[in-house]
Amino acid sequence: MHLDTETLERLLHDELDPRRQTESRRHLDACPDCRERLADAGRREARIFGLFEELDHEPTAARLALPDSCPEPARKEPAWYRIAASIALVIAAAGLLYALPGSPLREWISRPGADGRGTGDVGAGRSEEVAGALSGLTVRSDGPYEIVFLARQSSGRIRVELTPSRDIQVRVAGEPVGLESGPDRLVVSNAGSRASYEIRLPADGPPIEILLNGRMVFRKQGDRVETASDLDPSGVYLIDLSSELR
Amino acid sequence: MSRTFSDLVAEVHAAHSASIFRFLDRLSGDPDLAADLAQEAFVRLYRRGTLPEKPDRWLVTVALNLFRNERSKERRQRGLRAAFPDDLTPGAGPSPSDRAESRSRRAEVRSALDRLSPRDRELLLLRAEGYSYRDLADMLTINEASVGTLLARAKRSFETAYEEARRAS
Ligand SMILES: [Zn+2]
Repeated sequence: MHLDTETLERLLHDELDPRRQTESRRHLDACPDCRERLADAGRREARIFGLFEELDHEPTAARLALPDSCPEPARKEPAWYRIAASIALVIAAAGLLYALPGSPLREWISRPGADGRGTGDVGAGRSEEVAGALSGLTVRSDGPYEIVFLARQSSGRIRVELTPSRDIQVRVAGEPVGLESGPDRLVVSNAGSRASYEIRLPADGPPIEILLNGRMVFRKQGDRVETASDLDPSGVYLIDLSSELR
Repeated sequence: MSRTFSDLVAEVHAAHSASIFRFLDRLSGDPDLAADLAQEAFVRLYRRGTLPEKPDRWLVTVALNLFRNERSKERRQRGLRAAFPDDLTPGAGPSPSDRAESRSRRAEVRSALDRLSPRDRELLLLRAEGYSYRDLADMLTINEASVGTLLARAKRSFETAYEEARRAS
């Protein structure tokens, strides 16, 4: 018997309990029809959710203001930054990551993998050593993981590539950006930045989501990817960081 | 270092206000109303004095109820004519500029959404914000076991309504 609608939707949204997930996966492995139905459901949903963006009005500061009866906190750091900073098991330190002035993104993109990889210890003190090369950090996660970009940017984009490695790699080119990683989340404090990013995700393993300004822009689960962004011919997803600011 | 309740509300606001505004903006088609509803929900959170278990879910539920009340008040005042912001009125005719094209697509999406039942509309817009099936079931008081089926049905209804709106414009 083929998978029913409820099961297909739950597969799409990672809402099945482990036992039914295993059963359904087994059916999918053997049934091209249901594989196509699942892929079709994912494509149609991405299109619908993409159409919803047509409705969006600019979330200006005035529209997002805290009401008067909620006084601003005394400290000025973004609240998310503080939440991230309070995660008890911080497995990698934050750092300001610099590339040399004028270090062109184009050159970086043409040489993926040419630089040494960061391992989470790229602090301000090391920034000079890595200047001119790509900077970033590498984490490994056994559970669901989120990469959170706190803000949209006036320019810049994210290239997302699936790799056989088990590591999650985030690399930054262009401008200073704060990176803070916790056990289940990496927070990119990119407000006001025009940096671009290369993200390499394990093709296998637990679900990983990329959020931009509070919205999910990319999700992978197993080898299935949900995103409204473009897939270029070399198999790289390109996410525009300024799509709502045009 | 101890944080005041205002700090906590500010953190919730920083984490969720963009998503809550987007949801209400898409739901209502009126960004100023969306901003007002979101702010009123935060005022109520502030008055509540403690954080609910899932603050974002709580805020959306409060704002959604405020929106429904607002809409039924409007309907009473203006008969049954649906609220429709002026710049989205469909049938304004084609224009060569990209801006007009994008505006007409916006009108088509708006029109398609407005043809859905309130439950389908809310379900789709909340799922687009990433809420889990459990959250959706709680916020919309639907059976958690059939959220996937309801979502699939709502997506099909939207697709049909969208094609109709495109043909009409
Ligand atoms: Zn099948």
